[in-house]
Amino acid sequence: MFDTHKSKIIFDELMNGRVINKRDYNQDGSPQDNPLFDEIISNEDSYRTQYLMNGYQLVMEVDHCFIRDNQADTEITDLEKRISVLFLIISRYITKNGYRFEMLKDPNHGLTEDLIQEIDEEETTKELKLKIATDFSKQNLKTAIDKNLYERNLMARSKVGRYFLTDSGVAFFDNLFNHDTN
Amino acid sequence: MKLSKDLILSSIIEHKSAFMPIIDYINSNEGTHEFHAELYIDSFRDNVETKYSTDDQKVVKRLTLNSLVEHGIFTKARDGIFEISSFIVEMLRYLDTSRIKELSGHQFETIRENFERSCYQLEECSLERGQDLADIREQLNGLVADTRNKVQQNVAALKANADRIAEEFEQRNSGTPNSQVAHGSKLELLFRVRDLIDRYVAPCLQFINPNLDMRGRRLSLADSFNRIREYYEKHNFPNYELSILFNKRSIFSYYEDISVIMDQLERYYKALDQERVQYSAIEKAFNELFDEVVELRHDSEKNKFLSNDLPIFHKLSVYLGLHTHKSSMSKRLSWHSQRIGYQFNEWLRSVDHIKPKPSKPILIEDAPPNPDKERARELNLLTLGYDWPDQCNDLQLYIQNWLKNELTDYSLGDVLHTLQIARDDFKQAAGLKHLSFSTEKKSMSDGVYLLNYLPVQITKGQEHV
Repeated sequence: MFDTHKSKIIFDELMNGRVINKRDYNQDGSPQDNPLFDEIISNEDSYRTQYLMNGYQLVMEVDHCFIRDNQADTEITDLEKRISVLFLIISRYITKNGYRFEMLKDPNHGLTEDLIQEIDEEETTKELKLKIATDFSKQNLKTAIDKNLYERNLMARSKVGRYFLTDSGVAFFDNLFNHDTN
Repeated sequence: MKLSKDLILSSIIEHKSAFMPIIDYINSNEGTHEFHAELYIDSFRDNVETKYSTDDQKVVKRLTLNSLVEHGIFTKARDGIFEISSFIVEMLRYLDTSRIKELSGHQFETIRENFERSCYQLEECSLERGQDLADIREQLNGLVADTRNKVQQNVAALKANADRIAEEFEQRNSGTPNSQVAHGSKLELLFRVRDLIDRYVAPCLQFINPNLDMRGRRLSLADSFNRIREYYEKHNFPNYELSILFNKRSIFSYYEDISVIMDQLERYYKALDQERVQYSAIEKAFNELFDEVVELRHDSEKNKFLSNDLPIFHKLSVYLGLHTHKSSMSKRLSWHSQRIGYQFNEWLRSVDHIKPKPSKPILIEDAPPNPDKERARELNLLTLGYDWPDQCNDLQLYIQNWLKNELTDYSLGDVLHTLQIARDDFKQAAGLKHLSFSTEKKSMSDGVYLLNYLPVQITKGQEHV
């Protein structure tokens, strides 16, 4: 039986364009099972029906879920475009400058604010931001990460302020690496 | 002046660092023992000459190029090119295992062929001619001892090489993934690991694999050892049999060591290769994206943004359709054009069924309107013959609750109309039930109107109104 308290929170999360991850993180960065994801998994049929009746499709992946418009074809939303660009800007800077990609997955390391500042000062970053949207180009990179990755649960932040990839964030790169390998 | 060989050798051992550049040169040049004179002269100056004062030149003189040529350590091959004696190379490699040259697949194959040949020779040898057997045995003993030493040294060399790689790898991965290492050096390490596996570790592992099967009449090293042992057993040479058995065990005992090295190197290779794949995938996607940006640099395109429909965004798509749904009140207006008629009618129908409900009741502090005739009739029928309670402290509240249960759309006008009916009923029943007003002011609401009232009380007995 579904939990009405959790279902309300889930509704708020999904309707606000956030992804619900299989795991969330404690203050010390250690992962734990996300009760919201467990709730959906335990009552998947009910939740699917709920969103279907309201014109949405509940997209269940192995380690995250979100909703999309039921009538959407294959259009990339503005949000998705921003996410892709941000992830590429960050990961490219990391690997290009000799850091290991794995640092983005590690709650004890991740992106520091200094590093974000460095990335923001790159010419390629500035040019890419200009070509996304006017408001996007005016934001500094940290704000853009907060709005498009952190608030969407694609990245989490440790208590010392370092950003790292959540399960759904990792899924973006898994897709990229598999795409390239295949 | 000829010196004692002991003195020369002990000086070489003491100053082995002067000779190591030659060993490194040999190792990186397919094993040829030739080297340029300058290579040794430079090393000699740095490692020997500068360490002794002008008063103490004995050792220096022993290790000059000319002295070493004179004592057969070096041989002049041609102008400026010298060759170092094999036994000195082996001795220096023995002193520094990290410089032992690993055996290649070709060298292992040569050893295997030698064993195979000796094995067949032994099997075909006539026991009547004892000298033949003795010759073959001598040849075999040399081969076994040589192979055992080579395998032992090879394992040491591979281990030293693997340790060096492990150290580099662990240095890069120790604790912090934030440490920076240039991509070029990562690739260089990756290639070194692969090279070590393919050229040296895998052939060695195959060579001393006790279960290796070979096609046709070809014999693996294990096959040769087994057949030689069987031959000795069959012809009753128990000492020879025991000796070959021990040697076999000694050589094949390195199989586990090599397997461990192989696993370790494969693990490093996998991790390094994963980084290479990640780097190249990110680089490729970024370049594809940036190419689109470059397209928009020209004047006519200058003010345009990247289109959402670019192939790169579809390729990267993982959260297709993700956006803030709550903010999009355009849900019903984003229908597909070909179905607009049907859906628009559906929308009209659904809107028709929605009655606006104020989120908060707007209370009007005024007398609610009297029910119309039809409603009054309905209330009259409802209260017809109703048995009012004998005692009640708040008749208005009692009526409101009763009407809430009976009617789906009651209002305060209904309550007041019913109160009037009740009072009329009580008048008819005068003497049995009495009505009185409480002095405590109360209020009630139906969501639209607010009624302030003094509750009417019902009591039994002789009380007066």
